[in-house]
Amino acid sequence: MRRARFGRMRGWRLALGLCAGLALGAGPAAAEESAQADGVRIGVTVLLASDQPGESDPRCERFDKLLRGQVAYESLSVVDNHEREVPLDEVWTVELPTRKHLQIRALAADREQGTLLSLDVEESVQGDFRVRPGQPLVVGGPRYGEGRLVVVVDID
Amino acid sequence: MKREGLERERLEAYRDGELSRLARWRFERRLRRDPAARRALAELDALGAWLRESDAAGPEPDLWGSLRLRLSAADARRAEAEETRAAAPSWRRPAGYVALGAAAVGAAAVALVLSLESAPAPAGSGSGSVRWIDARGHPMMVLRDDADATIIWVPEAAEV
Repeated sequence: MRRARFGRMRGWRLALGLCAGLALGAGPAAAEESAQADGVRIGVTVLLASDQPGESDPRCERFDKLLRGQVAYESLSVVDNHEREVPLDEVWTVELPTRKHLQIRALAADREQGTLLSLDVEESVQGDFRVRPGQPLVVGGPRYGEGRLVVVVDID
Repeated sequence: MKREGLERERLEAYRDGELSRLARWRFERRLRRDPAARRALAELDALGAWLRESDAAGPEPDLWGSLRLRLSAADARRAEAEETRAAAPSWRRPAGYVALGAAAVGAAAVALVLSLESAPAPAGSGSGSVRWIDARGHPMMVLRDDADATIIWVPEAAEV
């Protein structure tokens, strides 16, 4: 008798616990799931800001406007270009022309606030950035060839 | 069989320090009473020691790259949460005046720094994108961080 009553009480406690757990956990879990399903279109353009004069590359026009006056160089050219849909929380590794690696991970995507990116240039800069479409993240400076290597990360 | 799997998972979680404080306390209480669980834990410890020795002998797997980003992910989310909290007008909080004073002193100190090696996001960076940044000891400059672009320059870095 006592055992049966204990069993019923235990059942009620379990049911209450389950309900509370569902109420607390379902909202954030569902939001997390929908975020996980999303991906972010990320573009990586590798440029050479050369110390030598050269022909102007039309693909560099936009980057030239950003960099001109900020850093010293004679000409700008595109060395490499990558683009990929990267699922949230997945690490995308891009090999730079110098054999070093660039790692990018989209942590959170928000239409208004932009995409929170974790970025790591091997043996150089690492950091977290809130990148918005049309607001590229430019990391440069390392010597490469006759100039400096510049990595531009864009979000669609 | 399924129960064994769960037991194993719990043992590994305990060993890796992944259990919550309450779950850890309950598990340790069980360990004191259950010789079989203690034996299983000892076996797991021995296996771990053996694996560490094997790793020491051979080349290390390159797991640090993705782990590094994973670690900073936690930092980034925390920083974002703190930033959101900081967005509330600070003068409405009891510590607001202290924070304002500290911010003024901090701003003056930042103005004196010519090159950065590691820096948190500038408070109230608005349209800027930098939340956290580290140049691993290289001198670094954030040339611009506004609505048009963020440009980070590492002038003295070795050839990459």
